[in-house]
Parts: sequence; C-alpha cells; structure tokens
Amino acid sequence: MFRCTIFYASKSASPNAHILRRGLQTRANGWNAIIGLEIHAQIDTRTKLFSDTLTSFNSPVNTNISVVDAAFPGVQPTLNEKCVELAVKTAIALGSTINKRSTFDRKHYFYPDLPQGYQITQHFKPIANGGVLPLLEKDGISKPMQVRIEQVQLEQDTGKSMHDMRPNMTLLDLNRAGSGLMEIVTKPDMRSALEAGQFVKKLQALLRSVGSSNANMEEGSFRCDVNVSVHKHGEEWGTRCELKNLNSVRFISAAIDAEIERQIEVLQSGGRIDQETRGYDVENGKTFRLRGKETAHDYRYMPEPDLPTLILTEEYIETLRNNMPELPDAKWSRMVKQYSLSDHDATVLLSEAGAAEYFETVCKGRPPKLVVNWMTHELFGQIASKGVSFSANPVSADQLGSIVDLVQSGAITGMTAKNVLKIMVDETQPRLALDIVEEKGWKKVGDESKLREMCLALMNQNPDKVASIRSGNTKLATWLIGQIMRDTRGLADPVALNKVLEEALGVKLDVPSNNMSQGKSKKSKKSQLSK
Amino acid sequence: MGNQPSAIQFQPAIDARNDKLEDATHLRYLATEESKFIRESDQEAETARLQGHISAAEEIEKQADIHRLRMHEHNQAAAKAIFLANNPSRDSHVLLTHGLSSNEAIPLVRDHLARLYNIDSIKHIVILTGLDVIPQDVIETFWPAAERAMRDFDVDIQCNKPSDGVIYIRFGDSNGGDSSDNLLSQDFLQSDLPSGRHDDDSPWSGMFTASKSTEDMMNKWSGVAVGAAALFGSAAVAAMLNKLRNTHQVDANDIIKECLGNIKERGKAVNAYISVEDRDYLQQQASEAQTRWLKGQSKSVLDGVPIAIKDNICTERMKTTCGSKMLQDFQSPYDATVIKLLRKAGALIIAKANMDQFGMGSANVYSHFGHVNNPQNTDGHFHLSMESLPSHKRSAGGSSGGSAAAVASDLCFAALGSDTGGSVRLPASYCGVVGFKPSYGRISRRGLVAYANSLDTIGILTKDVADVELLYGILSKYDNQDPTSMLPDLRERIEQEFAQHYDDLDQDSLKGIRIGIPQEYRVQELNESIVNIWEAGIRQLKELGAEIVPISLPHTQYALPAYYILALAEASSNLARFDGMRYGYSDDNQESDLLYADTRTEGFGSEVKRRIMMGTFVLSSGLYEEHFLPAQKLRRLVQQDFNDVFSLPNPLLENAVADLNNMKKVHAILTPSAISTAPSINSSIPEADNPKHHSKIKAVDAFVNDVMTVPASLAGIPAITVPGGVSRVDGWPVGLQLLSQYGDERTLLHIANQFQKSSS
Repeated sequence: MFRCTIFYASKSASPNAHILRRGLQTRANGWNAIIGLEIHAQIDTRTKLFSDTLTSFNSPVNTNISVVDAAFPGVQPTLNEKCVELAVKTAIALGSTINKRSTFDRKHYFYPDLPQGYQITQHFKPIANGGVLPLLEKDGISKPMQVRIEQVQLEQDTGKSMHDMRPNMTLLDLNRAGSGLMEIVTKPDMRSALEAGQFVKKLQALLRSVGSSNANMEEGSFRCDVNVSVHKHGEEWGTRCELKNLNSVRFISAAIDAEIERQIEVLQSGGRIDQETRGYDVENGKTFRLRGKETAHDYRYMPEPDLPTLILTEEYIETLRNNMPELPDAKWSRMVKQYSLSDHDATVLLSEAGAAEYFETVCKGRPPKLVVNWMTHELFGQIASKGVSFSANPVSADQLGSIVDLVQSGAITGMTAKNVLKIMVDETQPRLALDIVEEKGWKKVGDESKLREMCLALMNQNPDKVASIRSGNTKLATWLIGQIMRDTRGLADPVALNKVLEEALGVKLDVPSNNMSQGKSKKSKKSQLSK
Repeated sequence: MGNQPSAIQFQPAIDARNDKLEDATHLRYLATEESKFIRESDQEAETARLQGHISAAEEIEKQADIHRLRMHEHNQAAAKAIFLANNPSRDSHVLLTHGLSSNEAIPLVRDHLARLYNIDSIKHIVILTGLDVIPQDVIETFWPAAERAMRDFDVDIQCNKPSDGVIYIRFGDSNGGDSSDNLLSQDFLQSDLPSGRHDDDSPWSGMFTASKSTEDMMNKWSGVAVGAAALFGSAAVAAMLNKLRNTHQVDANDIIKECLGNIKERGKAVNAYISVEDRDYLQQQASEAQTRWLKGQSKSVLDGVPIAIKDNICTERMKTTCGSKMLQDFQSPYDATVIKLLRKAGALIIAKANMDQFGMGSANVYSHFGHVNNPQNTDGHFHLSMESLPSHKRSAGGSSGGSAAAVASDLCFAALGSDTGGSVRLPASYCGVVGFKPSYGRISRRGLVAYANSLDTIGILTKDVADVELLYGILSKYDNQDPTSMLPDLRERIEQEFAQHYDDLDQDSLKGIRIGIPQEYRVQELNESIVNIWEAGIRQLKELGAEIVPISLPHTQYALPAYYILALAEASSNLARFDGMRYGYSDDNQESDLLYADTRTEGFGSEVKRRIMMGTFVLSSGLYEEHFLPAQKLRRLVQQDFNDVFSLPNPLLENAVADLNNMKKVHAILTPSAISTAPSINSSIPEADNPKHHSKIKAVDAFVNDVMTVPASLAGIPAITVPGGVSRVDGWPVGLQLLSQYGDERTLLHIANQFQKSSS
C-alpha cells in the first residue's frame, strides 16, 4: 500500500522511468503500439452476485458456498441489488451511458472451477456503454489524454483452481464462485505501457472512491487482461495478442513492453503475429504462448432464461447520480484549491483510499499544511514501516488531530509528537495525545524562568564557551541548547529556550526552531536534533 | 357414499364349492407349469437371437405364445372356478375386465352400469384381484355373456335391494407379462374361504372379508373399504376425503396403508416409482395427521394425503435422480419450495415418480430406471384385448409418466409433475387422468431441476379437477428464491382486473362462456378417432351452455420447431453443470483429461445426449442468429396469437384492455391433448437405441406427440387436460385440453370442472 506513496514521492526511482525509456525507444524506431484493456473488478458487496452467500477473501477454503454457488440441481440465481447499484455508480463515474434495459447471458465453457458450466454475464446488452477516463499530467502522463470505455458489464466470478498443491490433483476452492464482477472494457486508446499502467492506477482509485471495489491486484479483486498490437507508423494496425494472468501494475507494464518488443522482433525478422493468448514470465521478462486462436472457445452465448430483463428507471439512475461521492479528479482540484496543497501532496493524499477524507477531518480547525505534513511524512511512514495499510490505520483522525494541536500550541516538541504518534500506532487503546504526554511526563518545558535558571547554571559552568559565543562564535550556542535539551530529555521548548538564551547571553542567535509549522526542511531539523 | 351398505350374503353349497376350489387349484397348477415353460422358451429364444438364429428364435417364440394363451385359458378357468365356488348361483355375473387396475375401473364400472341400467345409486363394488391376460376368443365369447350377466345382475340387485347394488367384478392384474403367480392370489383364495385367514396388509382384504358377514362388512366398509372405494373410485377425491374425515369414516392411517398396499401389489408392474418413502416414517406421519384430524386441527385439506413427486423435484428425503444414471445417487441438500409448501400443508410425500431422464421424452421410455407401463389397460368399456401382452405394452407418456401412472393406478392421491412442452398433459391424457400446467411463474420452480427454464412449470396430476384446485391453492405462492416467480402485485392485479369476469361466472353451468376451437389444431397427424372425441367434447360444452367460436391461431405450425430449438438450447446449457465434480455420477477410472467426457458420456442417456447435441448445435456461433433468434421471434408470434383471441387481456402487457363483449373473442380454447392414444412402448423406442429391432423409428419422430401441448408452453398460458373419452379404434383414453389467458387459472379450472362433472 505504502509503496504507492513512496512511488509518487520519488518518481525518479519509479520503474516507469525504465518503461518510459523503452516506450520512447520503440516510437523512435517508427513502431506504434496499440493497447486496450479488459478489467475485471470484484464488486465490494457483502454477498455474492446471485446468492446470499457472503463474499470472502482469505476465508477457509470452501466455507462460503451455497447450493446456488455450487450449481446444485434446481437452484436459480437471484440478482443482488447492491451489485447493480455499485456497477451503475461506477458507470456514472466513468461517464458511461446507463442502459435502462440490460440483460444477462450465459457464456459456456467447461472448467472445474466454473460450477454451472457457464458464466452469467452481460454479453448482448450490458448495463452501461461508453464513457471515458482522462489521464492528466498529475497522473504521471506527459500529455493529457482520454481513454474511452467500451462497456461496463456485470458478471459472475469463478472459483479458484489450485494445480500445484497436490501432485496429480487439482484442488478447488469455490469461495469466490459467484462473487460479483464488473468487467470494464476500454477502447484501444493507449499507446504505451506507461499509459496503460497509469490508467490502471487511476481506475483503481476511481473504483475505491466510488466504493465499488477494493481494486486490489494482489488480492485478486482487480484483474487486468491486455490486448497489444504493433504496427509501423502510417500502416494498418497489426494483429493483437491478449496478455493474461498479470497480477500487478508493474507486471502489466513490464509484460506490455516485453510483448511490444517481441512483436516488433517477429515482424522485423519477416514473421507474422498470430492472434493468441499469452502469459508473462516474470523471471525471464518475456511473454509466452498460452493458447492459439484454433483452440479458442465457442462460448455459445445464450440469454439467461432465469433472469428477467434488468430494468432501471430514470429515477433510480438519477438518485444514484445525485448521491455520487466526490470523484478523485474533482477532489484533487478542490483540495489543491481549498487547502492550498501542492499538486504532489494532493496526489499523495488521493492515492490512498480514505486518506483524503481523513485529512479533511483532521483539517477541521487546523492548518492544512501542518496536517498534510504530519499525515504524509509521519503517519504514512510509521504505519508503512509496520507493514500496515492505510485502510487498517490504527490512529483515528481525532488522535492525529490531538497531536497536531499540542504541537501547534507549543505544548510538546516535534520530537515528542513523533514519539506520541508511535505509541498511538502501537497501542490498541485509542488515547488522545494529551493522555500519553501526561502519562509519560513529556510536556514541553516552556517555563522561561526555569529555562533561564538552567541556562545561567550552564553558562556559569562553561565560561569559556560563553565567552566564545559572545565574541561572535554563535554556532557554539547550539552546544548549549543541546545540553539543555539533554537535561530536559528534549522537552525544552526550543523557541522559549532560544529566547531565554539570547537574553542571558545578550547575543542574537541564528538557531533554527524545531517547530514543523515553520516549514523548514526535514533534513536540517534532523541534523539539529541529532546533536 | 355416506350411507351404510346393505348386506348381501352368499351361502354356496359346501360340496359344490369344494369341488370348484379343487378345480381351481388344479387349473392354477397347470397355469404355473405353462408359465415355467414360457419362461424357459423366452430364455431360449433370447439365446438363439444372440447367437444369430433369428428364425429359430421366432419359432420358439411362436410356440411360447401358444403356451401363453394356454396359460391364460387355465387362469381364466381357474378364476371362474373360484368365483363359482363362492357364488354358485351367480356364475353368469362375473364381469371380466382386463388390464385396468382395479381402482381405475371402479368409477368406470359404476358409471357404465349406472348409465346402462339407469341405476343412479350403485354404491359398492367389490373387487377381486388376479387375472392377467384374456385371449381374444375368450373376449369375443365372453363379452356378450358378461353383458347378459350384468343385466341379470341388475335383476338380482333389484330383487335384493334395488337401491344398493353390489357388483362383483373380476379384474385383471395390470402387470402384464408372465405373472401367473399372482393370477389367483393367496389373498383371494384365503379371504373367501370361511376358515381362511386374510392378510391385513393386503389392500383388498377388507373387501373380501366384507362378503363374509354383515357385521364384518359394516365394520370394514365404514373404514378402509369405504375409504378406498370412495376415495380412489370417486371423482372428487379430496372433497370426498374431507367429508369422510369430518364424519370420521376414514382414517389417515388407512389411507397410507392403502397406498402402500397398492404399491406393493402393482408398483413394480407399473414401474411408476423410483423411490418410495420409508414405511414407518409414512405411518408415523399419517398417525400424526389423523390425530390432528380427530382434534379438528388439521393443517389443510391435504393433511395426511399421500402425494407422489416427480423425481426432478428436489427433496431432502429420498433421492432426486431425474430418472438418470448421472444423478442415480443424488441426495438433494434442500427441499424444493413446492415440497416445503406440501409438508407445511401436512401432505405425505410418499414416493418419487419415474420419468424420462431430465424430462426429455414423451413416452417415458428414456428412464434409467426402466419404462413406465401405462396402467390404463382398457377403454373403460370392459372389453378385453391383447394389448397387455409384453410386446403390446403401452406407454404411460412422458416425461411425467410415473406421476400420471401413479395417479391412475392409485399409488397416491395426487402427483406433481413438470411440464415444459406437455410433460404433464401428455401422460395425463394417455393414462386417463387430469393434468394441469399453470401459467409460467405461478408455482415456484425453486428445486425443480431445470430442463428449459423459460418453459418449465410444475404441474399437478389428479383424477379430478376439484383436486387440482385444492393443490393449486396450496402451491400457487410467490417465492423470492425463484426470479421468474409471478410477483405478488401481479397476482393481486390479475384478481382485480378479472374480478368482474369472475363475478359473472355461473357456478353450475358454462353460460356466458365462449370457447374457441382453433382450426390449426386439426393437424395431419391427428388421429380421426381423436377428432371424434374432440367433437364430442365440443357438444358437451355446448350442452353446458358454452358458446362455441371457431378461432384461428395462425402461427401454430411454427410452435413445434420453435419449441424444440429453444428448449434444447436451454437444456444443453442447463445440463452443463452435471460434470461429476461436485455431486452425481463421476467416472473415476479415467485419465484425467477425459474426465468430463467420460462422466457425461456414461452418465447421460441416449436421448439426453441427442438433445444436448442439438441444443449445442443451435447455440454455436453463427447458428445462434440462424436458429435461436428466429425461434424466439416465433415464440412471440405464438403468444400474440393467443392474445388476439382471448377476451381477457394479457396482464403482462401494458395497455392491454379487456374485450369481454367481443363475440369473436373467447374465454378458453378446447383442443385434443394428444394426437393419439398411448402408443405402444415398442413403437416409442427409436431404432438408434435398439438396433436389433429394425423399427425405422427415429428419435425425432416422437417430437410430433407434443404438437398439441407446446403452444401453451411457449405462450406461458395455463392449460389442463381432462379425460375426454376413449378411442373408438383401440378403446384407449385420450384427454381434451383447455387453454386460457395468462394468469386466468380460475376460468380454466371452472370450465374443466364443469366439463368433467358432466362427463361422469
């Protein structure tokens, strides 16, 4: 999860740089690539698409199955309205045309993890057609572009086959069988692995913000098949190959590049591209043939006779349209404007599901810049180092707010605040910052008379250093500050201390403050604190 | 029926009686010997055939047939002797019927005699079981004698007590085949001997002992005997049952005993059942039902009533095989919605009925559990025929053949079947019972193993329309687990929209009802004798006050091809789930890559495989547009045909308005239910499945049998078949079919009820 943040934060380290280079390279050779995507996103509902069985991820195998999911004789599918709602919302978010009448169809093939012997899908009349997802500069694209959507359809997921757990046996887990999927098909509008990769990320964020899918590739709730073809600039489009079983954005991009390279090589050496389905070998960085056109299925599509036409009224669609959550692009623009955030900060906040809402909650009555720093630098960093995703973030908005408040009021130092946050991340019990600070006795020493006392005592013990400072070596004052910080276990208020020390020494010091609200660079802060 | 029977006692001279009984014993011995010889001959013939000596085999078979006739003669004589022993003065009163199961014959005999002799109150019939096959010459010589006998009998009755007739009838056993062993059952011999004991388990023991003494008779007949005779023999079974129960004249314990007895006696021969419920369980359930009745707390009119279920309707108890090898051991983890409703109403699920595999077939010759034999072995006029020789066995019809045969042979009171293109109506017609298919969506399909979802309905088979109404009332409920179930507000709307029309229905006649006769149903394949019955039915409706209107349903000719394209396409898809992975038959001794192919090759029967292939074909890429889509269009045209002729609007259509006063529009349509009477089983087996017989019969030949029934299935409208009479040619029953507008079951059942009442 957090990798994403790092990724945005440090673009130069991104694998995309490498992809970008390759993409440019191919274009330079006069070759163009055409890329279209077919995405299967698991709909985030409590129950499955056509049964009231719970959906599951990581449940014990074969525990969430009903007679409907296992296709027992005599059962019928009953449509889960929540799935329809989320698909319609997704389609609205993509700007698609919602079909007021859509139908369900059966797609036939035999496979042990497909209990019915067919998948219920929407082949003839999907729930939505058309739509577009724009890719902007902030999404990491050099030139803004639009990826058009062909259609959005509802369909059933299959179970899982495990071929490698027992020799000569295939094990079946039907927990997933019958879960709702949205199939989102794009037009062949992408021209590089970078564009495809950024589209996938943007779509994931969109689905999460709509709440229609967790869109997690590692967990399999977001799967992507890629169609790739190449052609010489100015010539007709080439034959496409389909890449399947790609389970991360990185592999999608890498597989596309490998496939583009392969196709160009084949064509340049006088060969021909056959329409086929290919997989990606991560080890070798090469695609390989899964099956050809001759073994392609005849799916024998047929209307699903058990499910009547799905009729959506204008009223229903409008109600959903009027209750849409704010979508990422709109939110991004608003946040940049409303909170005066940098483009980068806004992007980081929007890259994690729920982070923007969290930010806005904490922001109420607090300075946005301070909050965004505490969130993106400290909170994200601490939970990431513990391997916790933001969705499982143990620190409530109230808790983080209480830290910011103490920092802002000068009651604690930035160093203390980090320690308080660490305790919050580690603790199961949600305590506010003040509680923790009081228990630990971490309240900042801001009492000037006490600090003056300490300063004078220290100066008396080190007359030579005092003399040196007074003679212009003001840098040595940091030593004194360090001593007092040590004696107060870092709890001395740096601003007050600075002031007291200046008064006691009668010298104007140029020591940076430790308060983050002053917006100084992290590096300098660190170096100061570490002394 | 409420009256107590009069007592009639016979006191044959003891000596003469013993002589006759000795004769009978000897004759029976001879018959047994013949039977042994026949069995051996059959085996020899079979062996010869297998070795390729066809002519030799035929010679042996010819010889065997001679002995078969001889066996029948002996049996015939033995039966006669027995009867004479018991009724020395009444030998001419023996009435022989053949093939009809006893229970079916009761109302027929009663009605026949009542009409013949103008007696309207023949109340009790005593039945003697046993005889199998009567040779043709015996029939010819015997029938006039039997007729005379009846006349004599009538006189006797009149002499004794004119209003309370008792008729002794010797019935044939419907087993057919080589069944000399039960020709003269022990029950029969012993029960009629003064010193004889009788087996309490014998269903008819009550009957036999009834003749022993007045007291016995009174006791028995007020219980089981009246129950059985009244319930099985009478028309309005459930209504009668309630009446009897409310006066404590019949007992749920006896009813179940009766059914179980019948199953024991003739279950195997009819082969109507695949599984029968545990006897102890049934008896306990019956006893609980009886307790409720006595307390006046019965769950419904069906409390304690035994009902059979077609074996493609899922039950938690008993297997659900769909008549197939694929599901031969399949135990459903859940009860179908209709089963839940029946159990809630207190009904006893007595057995699972035989059927064509997965509902595919119209003659019930495609069951993994053997053919269903039509128990209706005569035309109701009691002339005897060769029909029940093994080679002449008739089909019970399909695919709900077991359900229809079970009702016809009193193995239950009512049965559920499933009707996709006529699978309830066709067997009901062949077996001479009532078969009802409601509007699509009226009765929940949850738990009905799908054949063609867009056409499948659960149907009801009974002897009487009034009983259909009772069951329909219990089963017609909205079910949220069936996405095609008719929604509650549509049910409500139909009642409201049709309310005025329903108020106008006359309870005792068909005044104001217009019934359409569609010219397109006079197809080439329609047997002339069936046309006669159709015409008689039209006259009967007219007499009831209905107005007959010639109508046209112009797209009827396309219904059959459209049906077979749509149904088989859906079937090929529905049956994809039977892969042996999660349940059902699985071929275990296989190289893994052929697991599916082998499982499905072995698990499905020939007809199922043919239909899957045809369905797969029409769904193939490219052919879908050529076959499937046009068939869907035709289906809409067939629906439109019906909407054009019905005066009530189709409630599924927006903007449809009632056209009640248009004299050219009709409330219902009358057609035959089938193009012929029950075909013989042999002629129903295609050559592909039995290459030894060069019958030239193709599997698709049977499709034409559905021509009368598929239009209603395509249109989703309700339909019912009611016994219409018997064919003049072969004496076998055939049904007449009534159709009405979608959702208008009430008018349909009203007309059917009036029609049936006026037939009897």
